[in-house]
Amino acid sequence: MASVRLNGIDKTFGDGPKVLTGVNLEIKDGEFVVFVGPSGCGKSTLLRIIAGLEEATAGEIYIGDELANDIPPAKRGTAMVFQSYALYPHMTVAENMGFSLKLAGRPKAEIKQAVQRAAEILQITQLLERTPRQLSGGQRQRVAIGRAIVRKPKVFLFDEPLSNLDAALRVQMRIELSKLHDELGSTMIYVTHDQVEAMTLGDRIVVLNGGIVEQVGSPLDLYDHPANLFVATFLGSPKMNLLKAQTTGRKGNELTLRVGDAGQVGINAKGDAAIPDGELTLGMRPEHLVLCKPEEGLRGKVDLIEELGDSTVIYSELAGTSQIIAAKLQGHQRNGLRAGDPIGVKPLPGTSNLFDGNGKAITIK
Amino acid sequence: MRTRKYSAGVIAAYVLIGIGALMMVAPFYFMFVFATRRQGEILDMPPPMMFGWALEQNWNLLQQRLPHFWAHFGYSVYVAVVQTGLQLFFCSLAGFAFAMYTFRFKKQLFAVILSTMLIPPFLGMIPTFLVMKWVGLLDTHVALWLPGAVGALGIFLMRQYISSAVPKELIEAARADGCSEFRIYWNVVLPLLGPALGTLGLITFIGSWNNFLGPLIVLQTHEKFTLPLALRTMQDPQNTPWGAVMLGASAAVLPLIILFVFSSRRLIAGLTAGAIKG
Amino acid sequence: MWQLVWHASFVAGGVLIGWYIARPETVVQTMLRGFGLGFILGLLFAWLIPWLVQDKKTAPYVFVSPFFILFFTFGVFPILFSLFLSFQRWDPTTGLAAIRFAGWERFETGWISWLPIPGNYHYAVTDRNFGKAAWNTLFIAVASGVPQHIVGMPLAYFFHTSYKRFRNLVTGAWFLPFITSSVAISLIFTSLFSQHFGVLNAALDSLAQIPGLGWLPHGQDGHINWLGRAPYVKPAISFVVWWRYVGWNTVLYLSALQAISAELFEAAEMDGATRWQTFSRVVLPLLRPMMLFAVTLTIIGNFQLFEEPFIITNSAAGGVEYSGMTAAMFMYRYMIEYPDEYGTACAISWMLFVVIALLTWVNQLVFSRNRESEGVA
Repeated sequence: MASVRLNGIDKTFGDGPKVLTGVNLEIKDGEFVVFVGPSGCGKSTLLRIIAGLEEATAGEIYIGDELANDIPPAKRGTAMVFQSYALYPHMTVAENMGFSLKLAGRPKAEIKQAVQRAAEILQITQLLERTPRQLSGGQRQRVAIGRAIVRKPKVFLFDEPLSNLDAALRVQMRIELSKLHDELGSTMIYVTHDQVEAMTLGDRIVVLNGGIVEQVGSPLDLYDHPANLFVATFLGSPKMNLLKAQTTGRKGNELTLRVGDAGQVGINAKGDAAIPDGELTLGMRPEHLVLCKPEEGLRGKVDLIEELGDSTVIYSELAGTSQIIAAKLQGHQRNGLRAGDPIGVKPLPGTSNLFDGNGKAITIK
Repeated sequence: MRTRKYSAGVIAAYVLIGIGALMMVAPFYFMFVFATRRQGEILDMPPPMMFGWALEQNWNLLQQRLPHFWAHFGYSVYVAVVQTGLQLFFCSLAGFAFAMYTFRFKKQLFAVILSTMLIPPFLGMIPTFLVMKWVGLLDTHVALWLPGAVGALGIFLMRQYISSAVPKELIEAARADGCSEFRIYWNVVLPLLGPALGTLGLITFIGSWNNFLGPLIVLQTHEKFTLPLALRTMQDPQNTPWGAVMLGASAAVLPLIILFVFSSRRLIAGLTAGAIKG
Repeated sequence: MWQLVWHASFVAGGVLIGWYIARPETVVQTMLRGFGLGFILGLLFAWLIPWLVQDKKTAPYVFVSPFFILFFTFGVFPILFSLFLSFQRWDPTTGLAAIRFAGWERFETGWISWLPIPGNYHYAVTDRNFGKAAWNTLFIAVASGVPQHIVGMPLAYFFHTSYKRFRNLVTGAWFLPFITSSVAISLIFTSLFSQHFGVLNAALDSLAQIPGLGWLPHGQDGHINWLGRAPYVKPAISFVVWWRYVGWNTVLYLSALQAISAELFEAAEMDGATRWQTFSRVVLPLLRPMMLFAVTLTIIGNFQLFEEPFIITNSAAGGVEYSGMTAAMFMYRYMIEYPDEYGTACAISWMLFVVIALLTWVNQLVFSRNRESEGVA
C-alpha cells in the first residue's frame, strides 16, 4: 500500500494536442480515488501514466516515496484492471491469475496459495479451471480483479471496469468493489465516466475536463460546493439549473437576485462573501427547488412532467425566456399540475450556488 | 503503446531486418542494372552495380531473340485481365450467395469449395492437358483463363467481406422494393464491394500474370506464349544473352512492382483482414 | 439500360462467333476473340440468371454454380481420370482407344516382394532416380520451409510491436519477392549464382577482404560453382524458395497478430513479462490457428515445387546429377519425355498427392491439440 503523488504532469501525443496539462494530485495511502470526466478528458491517459504504460511528457510520478517515472510498469507496484479485462484466452482462470507470479519465478506452491486466496475473496474458486471463453462478463471481470489482487500491488488501477456490464450487474459489482476496498484497504484509483459510480465509490473524486483537473474533493463536497460550472453540471441528475441573475440587494446574510423577467429569489450568502458586479449565474439543483406561489419565487409555465415513481420532475418554461428549469419533488407530488399551468419555484435556503462571469464559484456558504 | 528504451538487442534487430529488406530487394535492383549493361560488362567480376548505357542494345537483342515480344506481353495482359474480370464477377456472385442466403447444403458446398484450395495444382497438370486437348482448347489462351475464372480463394474472401460489410437489411429492403435477386446483386451489393474487389483483383491479376505452369502445359506455339514462358525460352546453357534476358524479366516484373507500390497497403490489409476470419 | 446491353451482347456475340470460325491470325484478333468470349460468358450468365432466378430459393444455387461447373469440368473429372490413368498404359497421341491396362508387377527382393503393385507405380518407384527425386524434394521442402516460418514469425512479431515508422515500407520490401514471377526470379538468381560472374561470389570476394573473414571462399579459384556442382544446387534452390515466400508468411502472421487486442500486450507488460516471455507465453499460443494454416500452405506448396528448380537448373532433369530434380519435375519428365508412360506420370502425381495429404493431416494433428480446452461461452 502506498500513496501516489503527481507533480505537474503534462502529456502530449506526438504532434497532437496536449492531453494533460499541469496535473497535480496527492492520493493518500489506502484511499479510493475516482478520476471522472467526459470522454476525451484525459482520465484514462492519466491512469496509464501512473501505471507506466504511457510516459508523461513532463512532470514526476511518485509511488510511495519513490520516483517512478523510469521504473517499468511491472516493478512499480501497480496492478491494472482493464476495461475489456484483457484475460489471456488460452489460459485457465487459475493460470491467468497466477501468470505474473509465474513470470517472476515464484514456486508453484506459493502461486497456488496466492491464487486460491484471491479466488476466495472474489468467490470464484469454482471457476479456477475454466477458460475465459466459458465465463460471463461479470465472472471475467472478477478474474481480472483477481489477477490484480494476486500481485499484491501497492496501488490498484481500474480503467472503466464496469462499462461493459449491463445495468443490474453494474450496481452489484459496484457494491462488491466497495466491499473489496474495505477488505483489502489498498490504495485504489478508479477511472469512469459515470458520475453515479464516482459518487458512490470514491473517498475522493478528481473531476477532469480537457486535460485539466477541475476539482478534487469528497463526493458530497463536490456536490455541495462545486468549484465551477463544469463540476456543478457534471454531478447530479437532472443537471443543476443555471440561470443568469443580477444582484438587486443585500441585507446581512441574505442576497436578493433578480432572474430576468421571472422574478426574484433570496438566497443565503455569508456576510463577508465578495460578490462581484455584473451578470452572475445562479445554480439551483432540481432536488433543492420547492413549489410556491408564482409571486413568491420564479414564475413559469409547466412544460412537461415526468413521474419516476420515487420522484416527480417538473420541467417548466421560465417566464420571459425559453429556458427550461427542472424541479424534482419527492414521491407522486404532482399537486394536480398539468402542462401549461402557471407555476412558481424557489430554492430551499442554503442550497444555492453562485458563479461569476467566468464560471467560477463564488463562496457564499 | 509506450515507447521502450532502445536496447542493444532492439537496435540489432532493426539493423538485421533492414539488411534483410535490402536482401529482398537487391535481386530486383541487379535485374534492372543488368538490363542496361552489355554482356561483357555483366560477365565481369565484380559485376556492375550501377546502371549502364546498353539499354537500347539489349532491347534490340531481346527483339531478336523474341521476335514476338510485344505479342507475349499482350497475351499476358489479355489473359490476366480476362481472368481477373471473370473472377471478380463470379466470385462475388458466389460469395454473395453464401453470405446472404440460406439454402440446403450451403455448409457442405462451402466446405467443398474450401477443400479445393488444398488440391495441389500439379495434380491437375496432366489432366488439364488432356481435357484441353479434347475440348479443342489446347494451344489457346482460353484454356488459360477459363479454368481460373472462379477460384476458391476468391469466393472465400468475397464471402468474408460481404457478410461483414453489407447489412442484411439492405438486401431485404431491396427485395421489398421489387428487385430480382440478380438485380440485388448487381445494383445494391456490387457497388459496396470496392475494397474487396480491389484486393481480389490484385491477387488474381498477379497470379495470372505470373502463371508459368499453366501456359507451359497448354500452349505449344511459340508465338502464343505468355511472357514468363517466353522468357524461359531465352535460356541457353551455352550463351544466354543476360542483358536481354534481364530486360525481358524486367518487363515481366515491372508492371507488378508498379501495381504493388501503389496498392501495397491495401493489398496487405485486404489479405490480413480476410485471413483473420479464416 | 439493360435492354441496350442485352441487344448489344447479341451483336457482339454474333460478330465474335463469326470471327472465331474464321480462324484469326494476328495477336489483336486473338485477343479480341478471347475478350469477346469472356464477355459473352459473363453476359450470358447475367442474362440467364434473371430468367432462371425467380425466387430467392433457387437463386443461390445458380450464383454458386459457375464455380462448380468449372470445377467439375476442369477439376474433378480430370483428376479422377488421371487416377484411372495411373493404372493404364497409354500414349495420348495415339488416341483414346489405345488405353491398355498396365498390369501388376512385384518387387524383386525384400519382404515386400509378395505384394502385387500396380504396374505404373512399380515402374516409377524402381526408376533409379526415384529415390533422388524424393530426397531432393524433402530436402528442399524442409530447408526452405522451416526457415520461412522461423524467420517469418519473429519478424511479424517485431513488425507488430516495434517497427512503427517504416513498417509499411519494410513489410512491403519483404513481401515484394512473393508477388513477382517465379520465372523472372529464377532467371535473376541463375545469374546471381553464377560461378564466375555472379553477384553472390562477388560479395564473398568483398567480404573476404575483411580481416578475420579470409577463410570465405573467394578469388578466381575459390568461387563456388553454385549451380554446377551437385552439393550446392539444393542449398541454392532452397535459398531462392525461402527468399520468395518468407514475406508471405510474415504477412500472414502479421495479420494474426493484429487480431490480438492491444490490451493483452499491456496486461502482459503489467504482469512483468519480458518481450520474449510475452512472445512465447502469450502470443505464440494465440497464433496456433494461423500457424496451422500457414504451415499447411507451406507443406502443400513446397512439396510440389516445380518452377524454381526447373528454371534454375534449366532442365527437367534437375541439373548436375539430378541434384535439383524435385518430385514434380520427375513427373514432368515422364509426361514430356517418355511418350508411352503417361500412366506412370499420373501414378507419380498421385503418389505425391498422397504424401502431401498425409503430411497435411499430421500437421493438423500437431497444431490442433487445443481443441478440447476451447469451451463454449
